[in-house]
Amino acid sequence: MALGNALANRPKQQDATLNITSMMDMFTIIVFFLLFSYAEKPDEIDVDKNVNLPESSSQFNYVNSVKLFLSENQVKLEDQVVAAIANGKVVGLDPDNAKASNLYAALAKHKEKQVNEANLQAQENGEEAKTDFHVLFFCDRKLSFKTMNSIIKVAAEAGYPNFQLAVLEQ
Amino acid sequence: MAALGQRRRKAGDLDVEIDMVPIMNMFLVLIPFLLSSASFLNLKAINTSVPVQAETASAAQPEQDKKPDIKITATVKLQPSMIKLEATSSELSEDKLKALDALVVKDSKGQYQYADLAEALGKIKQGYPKSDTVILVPSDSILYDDIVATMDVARQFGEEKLFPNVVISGQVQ
Repeated sequence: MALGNALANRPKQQDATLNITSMMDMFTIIVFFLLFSYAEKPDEIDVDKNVNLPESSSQFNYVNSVKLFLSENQVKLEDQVVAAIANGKVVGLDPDNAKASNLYAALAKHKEKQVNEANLQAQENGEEAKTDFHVLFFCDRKLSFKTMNSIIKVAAEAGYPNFQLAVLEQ
Repeated sequence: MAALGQRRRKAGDLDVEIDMVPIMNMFLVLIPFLLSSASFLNLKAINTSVPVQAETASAAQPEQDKKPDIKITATVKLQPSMIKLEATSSELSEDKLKALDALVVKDSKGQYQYADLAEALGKIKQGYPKSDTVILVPSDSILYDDIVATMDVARQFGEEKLFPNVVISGQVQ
């Protein structure tokens, strides 16, 4: 009985409430930060994991165009592997006959597709067709100029004389 | 007064607590979604093109009069052990162009002395402010990392704006 009285007389437990206002503030800031950083960026690009880009002070934004990923052992056009690189040379690429290479064929096919799409779009909108196509190069920082140059030349022959070099912002 | 105050408090609105839990739930869904789709690689681009022959002005005017309009094209030859800077222009004499040439050797740690290169480029820019093009000619063995670093220096060193147009060109054998 004495125990029963003690239990009956103990102070009533209050409902515990968690104050989530500060957490809400934090979440609101995070959400707005993420939304704004999302809006500032141009089209997002998935960079190939094998490509280690160099850092640069350049402030130009890239234009999302044909993407060529040059790693130390392969060349990828968008998601497709178009050539292998061995000992700093593109396998199957003869500098004197670049038009016979897979790389040239893939780039030329891509160019043709882009031109057709641009013409179609121009017809629909009644505008002049776009002609300034360029390649966005993602080159590994350890790649030699010899390798890079041989690929740039093929791209120029395939109809992409202008190009952009993708870099990481410093 | 005290009694009035008490009465007001009693008659006033009840403390209303907004139910934040649904908003919290929404945020908890939104944040992982935004984080997973966010990219923390801040990509930028360097615009380059093939070298273009500069237009030549008429040779009728004397050199001194034309100086502010003279455009010098700086050729930066990036070699494994040094950087050679050569000034080219059809509007200046060989002697004047030679005076603008520079040779920047690597330091004892094997690093290019970019400050010296910037100084030499700055000298050209100060003398001929209309100059805006650098032709970068790397040797075959030069790494892309060094090419980008040299291009950065040619465009801007510190706060000093140098040559906005940097063109890459292969070495002519």
